[in-house]
Amino acid sequence: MMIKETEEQLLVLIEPTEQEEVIIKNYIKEKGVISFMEEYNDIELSNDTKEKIEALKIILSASSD
Amino acid sequence: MDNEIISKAISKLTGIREEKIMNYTKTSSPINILERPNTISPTDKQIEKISILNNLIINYNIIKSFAEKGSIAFNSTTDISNYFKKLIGGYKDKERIYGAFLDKDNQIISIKQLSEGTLNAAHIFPRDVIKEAISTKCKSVVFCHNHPSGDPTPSQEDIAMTKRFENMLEPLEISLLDHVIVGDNDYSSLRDDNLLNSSSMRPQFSTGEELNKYNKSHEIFGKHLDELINCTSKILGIKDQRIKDIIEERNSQDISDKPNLENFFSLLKDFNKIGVKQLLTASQQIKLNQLSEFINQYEYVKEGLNTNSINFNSPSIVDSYYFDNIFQDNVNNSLIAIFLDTKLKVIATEEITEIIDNKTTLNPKELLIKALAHEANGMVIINKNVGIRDINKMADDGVKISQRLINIFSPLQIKVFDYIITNKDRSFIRSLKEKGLFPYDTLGRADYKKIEICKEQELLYDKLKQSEEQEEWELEI
Repeated sequence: MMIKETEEQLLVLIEPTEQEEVIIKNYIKEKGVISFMEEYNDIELSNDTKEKIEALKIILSASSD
Repeated sequence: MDNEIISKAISKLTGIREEKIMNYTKTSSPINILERPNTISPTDKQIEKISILNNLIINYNIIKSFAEKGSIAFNSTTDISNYFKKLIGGYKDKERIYGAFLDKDNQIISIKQLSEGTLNAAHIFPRDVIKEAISTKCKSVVFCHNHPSGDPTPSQEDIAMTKRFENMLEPLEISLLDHVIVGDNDYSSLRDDNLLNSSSMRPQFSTGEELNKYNKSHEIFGKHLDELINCTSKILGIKDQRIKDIIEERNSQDISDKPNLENFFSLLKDFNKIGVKQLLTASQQIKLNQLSEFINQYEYVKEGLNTNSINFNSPSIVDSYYFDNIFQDNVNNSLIAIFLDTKLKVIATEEITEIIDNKTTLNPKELLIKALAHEANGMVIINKNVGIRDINKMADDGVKISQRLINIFSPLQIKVFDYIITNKDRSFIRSLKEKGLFPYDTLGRADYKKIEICKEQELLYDKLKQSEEQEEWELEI
């Protein structure tokens, strides 16, 4: 339940295209949200979406300091 | 991490302009925007994004923690507080209540935000708790919420609410394991404070860690306690063995089997509780009270020095803490607002207007925006004068400004406590409240918390002077 909620929050924040959304959902379903955040660079996503995920990683890192 | 990188990241995800965030970083870390978003006046859409981001951070940390450890178990209040401090300890904007639903081994099945309240209150709907408890088939529940003021002391409402839920869950054979309140760097546990009902089916914490912590602190404490007993004995004129007996007596009465002697503070409180006062002479009672008050004040000053966060309890704070700061850079006459939280702790200090040609112009709307942005519960206005001017004229202006501000801010439950006039060479520091010139509104009078104590101290001092003349400084109890 929490993973689903996190996935939805992630999608709202990074605003992927419809095609990207399907890819991301499948990836998270298969490997989990943590793996997705670590391996997103290897997935076929636009630069803008990747930049937003990178921004999210920075905030996650800064908030845990 | 570099503020610029964090600012860019926040800007990218929330749509808030980067310059606006960078401007904020002059006084604070950009990550704090997530805790106090109103400070930078975001749009509704940006607020929504920040809220989603905050929730995502919480969820992500839980998932990550779970992925690393395989499971998360709450086996002590320390476990609970450490966990929730990371999640919600930093929030300054409003109270949030979380529920952790645990299995028979105290492992987390689910964590759910049960409520998001205001600056100093949040309420849980019983239906939400019961629904989640039943759907997760949990065996116990832990509540945790943050106090944006930073002080984790449970309120009467916190205690009453916890007891209601404990009674409600018990027939379902679900125990309320604890209710932990997190503040800035500290926490309180209703279970540790013995504020939960005892229950035979309550799962047990492993108390080993707690016990070690206690033994260690008690060992160190014991050495200092002997010194303190010695000093107290001399000050109060009570034999030190008698003080030790009193402490022993107090410990044997304490059914919680916990030390009530964490510091010297509680020792003095214990004196009062067990009626030692009745055994003291009048002058010794006065000394005891003064000693308690001295430690009270000392703790208060120490806290202020340690945290750089001062409690604005009396106008003299201006002289002690703010004088050098407010005259440091700015050579203009001006009004300064000191914004306070519910505990009278200083949140921020802002210059709100300039005084030109002896005329004070203040835009209350701007002040209101600033007060709301800081989520202040109260404020003190300081009239800062570089040169010596007509004090009576300034007091008249102060009364008018105060009256106007009280009328605007009181309906919003933001108290205007005082208007203090001060000048650079310290030739005068005048509090309109102390001078009896401060206007009061119809909704109630804002007041310093320590005023009564100050008066009491004066009375005690008078009594002491009298009693010293009349009584000898000896005691036998």
